[in-house]
Amino acid sequence: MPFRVAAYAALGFFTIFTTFPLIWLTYTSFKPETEIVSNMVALPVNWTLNNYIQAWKLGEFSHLFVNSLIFCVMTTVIVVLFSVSAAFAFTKIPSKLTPIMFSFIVMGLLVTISSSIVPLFIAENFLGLTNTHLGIIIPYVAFNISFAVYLAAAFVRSIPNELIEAAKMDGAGYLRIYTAIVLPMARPIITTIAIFTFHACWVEYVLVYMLSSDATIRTVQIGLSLLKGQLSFNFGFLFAAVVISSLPLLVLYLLFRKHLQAGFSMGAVKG
Amino acid sequence: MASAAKSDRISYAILTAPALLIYGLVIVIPVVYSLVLSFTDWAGAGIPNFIGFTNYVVMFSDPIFWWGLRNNGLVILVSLIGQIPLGFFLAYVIYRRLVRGAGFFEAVIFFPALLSPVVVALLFGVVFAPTGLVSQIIGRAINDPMFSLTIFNSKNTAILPYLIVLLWMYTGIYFIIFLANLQKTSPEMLEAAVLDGANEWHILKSLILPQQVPVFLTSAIYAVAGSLKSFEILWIMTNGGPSYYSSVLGLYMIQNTFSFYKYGFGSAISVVLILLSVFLILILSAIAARFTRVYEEGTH
Repeated sequence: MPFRVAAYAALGFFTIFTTFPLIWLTYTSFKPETEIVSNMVALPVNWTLNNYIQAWKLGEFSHLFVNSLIFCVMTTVIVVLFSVSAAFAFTKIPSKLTPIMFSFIVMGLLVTISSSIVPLFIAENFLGLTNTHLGIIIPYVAFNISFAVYLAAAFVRSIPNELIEAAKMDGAGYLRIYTAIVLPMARPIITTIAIFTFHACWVEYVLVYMLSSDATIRTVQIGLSLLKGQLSFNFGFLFAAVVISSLPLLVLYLLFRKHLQAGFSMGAVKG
Repeated sequence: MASAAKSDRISYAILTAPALLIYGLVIVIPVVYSLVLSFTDWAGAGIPNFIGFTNYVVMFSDPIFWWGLRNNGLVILVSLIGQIPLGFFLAYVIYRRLVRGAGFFEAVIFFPALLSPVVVALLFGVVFAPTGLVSQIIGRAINDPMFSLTIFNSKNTAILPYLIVLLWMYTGIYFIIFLANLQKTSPEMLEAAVLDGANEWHILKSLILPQQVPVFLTSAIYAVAGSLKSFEILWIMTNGGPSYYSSVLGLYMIQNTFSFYKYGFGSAISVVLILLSVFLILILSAIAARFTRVYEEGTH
């Protein structure tokens, strides 16, 4: 019985701790500025959409959303294609190279953006890739590929070898086995990798901040961080912008919660 | 047959080359180059001069470096004694169905982990501002409308809001990791234990915890690597201020590199960060190996 009481107490406390700031943020975004100034804690008396209208215009969100979407969709597609194919070769085509190559790529999980950003910045400047969409997508793919290969390999390993042997007996090459057998079977892990990568791209801030100065390729996160400077004392606007920028995540969460959880939970579990 | 082996090698190359190439070009070569830069005085233009270990010597005599390291230490501590145990306990409660509405709690605990660092930083920047939410709530409670929270301006406590934010945001990740692993436990074993009259405490201590030791270890490694990497929230929330009191090494690196154009010096900090990460992970693995052995001997 005392265990159950402790359980309820911990869950209750943590639930209030996590939800109250989010609930406060949401209702404040519907509050007129005068009410925020007079009382920060209270619920709005006159609910208003004005903050949203202003934030949408001032933040140029329509244009930011398009950029974020381009970066995330392109990155996700490329990461899925590259990682599943590599994972298949690593786990199902016998080769002496595999142990070296696989650990080489999985070591990337330890590398931080900050330890390669300077040379990356120099290289992109040299190649004229800074402030281009490609100049963002390439590093996004690279920083997501290690984890994706790691996840995909754990899954492809579980496909029975007999299946692949049988196809080989029938005269299929590995490329054909990959497209005809492995890809269709890998659909669940492809969804997990895709959702996880899309999420990682959507919330990414440091890379795009470092590799772009041009307003035309700003993402939602950059737009938000810039609004902070402009609206430092107008929490209503700022919070409306925060809600707008988080809506895609809420949708992603509601549609694909299981896949997101799978991605996160596999992150720290050895395969 | 020889031609089959050759075509297999070609398939292998075609399938792995794109991933290896992009990873090698964008991550591996820059990391190696960064190591080289760390021995130079490069300032973003001109020819870099080789200056040996000067950057490292300067770094180790810089108080801001040590303060950042101290704050990084606190961040790791919050993960190890805060996020991971709390995440485990919450997951255990949900897994054992000790409360009603498990699905609701699951959703609520996990959701903050999905938000973007920018959003979290903006929200908590306002919550902990001198005239922000926390100040106002306290001000109302003690009936002093001019009340302003100043403890976050002092040297020792400036990092506190960030630590609270980390607990708020990332406990959910460890919760999900433990929940996924707990669900692999065989239900028969639990039923047998319950039939034998084991109480909740016994089940937790003798049945569940020993099984979860490897998950605690991988979580700890994940936490150490993540703690040294992340600085975005802090960057937007306080930018290390007031006067570097809330800085961490990642932030120190970014500021030196991109605000002061000390590329060589910034690279040296990156190198230290990677070495620190590898070193801590090795220590953790050694401790865990020893701990597992003791635990196994104890149960026999």
